[in-house]
Amino acid sequence: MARYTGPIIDVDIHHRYKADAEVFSYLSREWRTYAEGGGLAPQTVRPPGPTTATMLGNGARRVDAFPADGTFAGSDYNLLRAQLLDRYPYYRGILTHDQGEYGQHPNLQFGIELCRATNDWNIERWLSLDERLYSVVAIPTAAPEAAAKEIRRVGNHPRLVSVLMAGNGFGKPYGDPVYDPIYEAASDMGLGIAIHLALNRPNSQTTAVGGPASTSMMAISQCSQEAMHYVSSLIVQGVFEKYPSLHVVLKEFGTAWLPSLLWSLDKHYDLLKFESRWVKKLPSEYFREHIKLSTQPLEESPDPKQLVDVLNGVDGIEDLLCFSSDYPHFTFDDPTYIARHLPEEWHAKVFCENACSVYGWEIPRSSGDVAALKAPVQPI
Amino acid sequence: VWCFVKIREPIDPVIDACVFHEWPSILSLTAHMDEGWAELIRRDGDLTGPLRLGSNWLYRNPDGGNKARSAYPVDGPAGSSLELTAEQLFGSGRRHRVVLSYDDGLLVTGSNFHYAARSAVQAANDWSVAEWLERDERLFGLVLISTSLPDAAAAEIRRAGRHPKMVGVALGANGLGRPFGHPVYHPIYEAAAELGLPLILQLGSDAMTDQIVPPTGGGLANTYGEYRSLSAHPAMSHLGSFMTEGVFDRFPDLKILIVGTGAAWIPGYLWRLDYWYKNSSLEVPGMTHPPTEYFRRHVRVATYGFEWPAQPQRMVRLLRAMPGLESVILYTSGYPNYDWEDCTLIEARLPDEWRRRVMYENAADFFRWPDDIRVDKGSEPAARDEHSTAQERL
Repeated sequence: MARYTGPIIDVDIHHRYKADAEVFSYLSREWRTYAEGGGLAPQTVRPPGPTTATMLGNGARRVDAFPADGTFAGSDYNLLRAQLLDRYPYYRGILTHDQGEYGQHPNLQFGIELCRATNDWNIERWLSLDERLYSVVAIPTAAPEAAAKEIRRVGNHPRLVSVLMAGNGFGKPYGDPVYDPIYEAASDMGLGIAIHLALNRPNSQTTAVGGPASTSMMAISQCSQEAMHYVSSLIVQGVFEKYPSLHVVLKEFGTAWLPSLLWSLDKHYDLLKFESRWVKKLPSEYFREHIKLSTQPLEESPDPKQLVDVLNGVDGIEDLLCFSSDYPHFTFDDPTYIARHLPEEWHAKVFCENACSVYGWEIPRSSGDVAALKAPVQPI
Repeated sequence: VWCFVKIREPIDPVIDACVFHEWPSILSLTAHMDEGWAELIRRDGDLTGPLRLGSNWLYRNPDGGNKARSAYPVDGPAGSSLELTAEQLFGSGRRHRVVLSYDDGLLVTGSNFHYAARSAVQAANDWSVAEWLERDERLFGLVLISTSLPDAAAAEIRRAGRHPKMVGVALGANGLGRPFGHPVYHPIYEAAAELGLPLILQLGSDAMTDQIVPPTGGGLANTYGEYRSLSAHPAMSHLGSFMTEGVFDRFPDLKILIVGTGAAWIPGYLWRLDYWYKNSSLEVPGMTHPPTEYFRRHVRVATYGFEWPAQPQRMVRLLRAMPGLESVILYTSGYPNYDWEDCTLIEARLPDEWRRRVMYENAADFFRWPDDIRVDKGSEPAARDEHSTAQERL
């Protein structure tokens, strides 16, 4: 059974606040008053959204990831550290919020302010705790100019490595030029784009084909549709021609749909060129140069070899996958599980090297580099 | 250099599970309608001509249209001439049976004007029988329905579906904007199951301007090429819905063919559904089997629209990752679309042991043929007792 003992980079960890008030305390006084709603009608950091996916028990979190103080899973650094960072040879982990669609409030002005507060909270309350922790910039996707401003405001922080797009602000695919200010700012600041699944998003079309899903099972199973369209749109609508240094990591959309999509797009290459001035290379070439997929939730085939056979439909797929655990969700992918399910010769790339190439990090030479990074425990 | 080329006997006969036939003009239908509707459509004296009944496609191939140039007869739209269609499809002498599946006919089903759509599908079915099915013994048909009025659709299946050459039901547009497993559509499945007719779900049925829901996840596609590349989306949504809403438990003999949606996404999607079936089964009390099992028993996939990468054998290699898919795939030409695929082309891409199944046997077992040509005579879709238990729970 294949094992992996080298350094791990986890591109999708979900962290959050213990109470909404924690994030609200970073708002201006006026907006804090608004958020508190006179005490009786407080806002929440997460915007209201469809309840479909909430049917999963324990908020779809690992029961053992709920801290003893009764707060929510993913809100406690010490627990996260014990269950993740110190338990496995973590080199770095990218905190991706919960799931960071905080700018999707119907009151867009509040959404903009909330993203600012979230970023300040994140830097002060999390990134200061542990050198292994990196994170993403939360933005209101429905306000691209304000999002760009926010990216330029905090994007210089050395441990913010991408811009998080969670929650499709306009219900348009992400290659639409309406999102260009976001890509321009990210590109200027040397940041990547992280596109994360956001099932709880309000008013945006994600998996609405055939109508809204009625069960969490269907909502989650269909979520790859959204990612497939974003890939096609980013490529065909020219985002990588306009911003050639931009890279994208798709998080939590699964993996096994990729051969189907890239074959389809390549098959329609002539047609796509006819319709779009931006298509200058085969779509699969753009993908290879600019996009990576997080491994979680790795599809479970009856025999792990079957999934590898599907993934091998894309040449060099081992260069395109980045390990992610999705901690603290109950669909958590343990690194040892992933190591058992993917070929041994992929391990170094998937667990570490591919993420290093995305974020421009040096590849750690040995697990000694990792041990040196263990941070002192800081009480919150 | 010596090349050893294996000469393979062509499969004969061949069944082509989906050809898009077309009426020469909307006026072809008026002869089969009540006078009131006929008058509305004819619009005698109207400077813009007769009413173009039905929705518009949202997406059209901008490079020459959706149809093959060679498929246009001298005096009408592609696919509107029985003679030309027969010449181009039966020319090789091998194809024995062709299932006709409408083209503009499918647009009629998506009209928001549901009473007009109801009248139009009735007329279309009578036109199809008179002008195609009764004129050539090799041609078979599908009952066209408009799902926006499910009870009327069920009545039409019971009316038109009695014709022996009707071998299935064309599901057409998603008239009520709900995934097709939704109970509001069940009267349709009840009628289809009663008559032993399978359902055919075509790509494009979700891409009409009158539709309530978009044809792609993540918003509307900007280009036709992207829309085509994402054609798996409606199939994913509807298939999952059929399974999770317990349609196959309520109607254990019901079968579905999906056309034009590719297939390389299927293994990954089913593994994912199986995972959630295991972990979230309280949500879906109507389900008694894992999705993969429903799929094998009830779902068939057309070759038209397969992703076929530059090296076609890679497609087969991927499909082999899920054992048994060769029993699920039906040869489908997609004639007269611009990217239709002749039987010789598809046959050449299939491994030896798949060819007879895909080119003939799977379709022989799937449709309600007037003569019993089933290969798998004992194929009962499921154990009855388990299913009746599921029904009681619902």
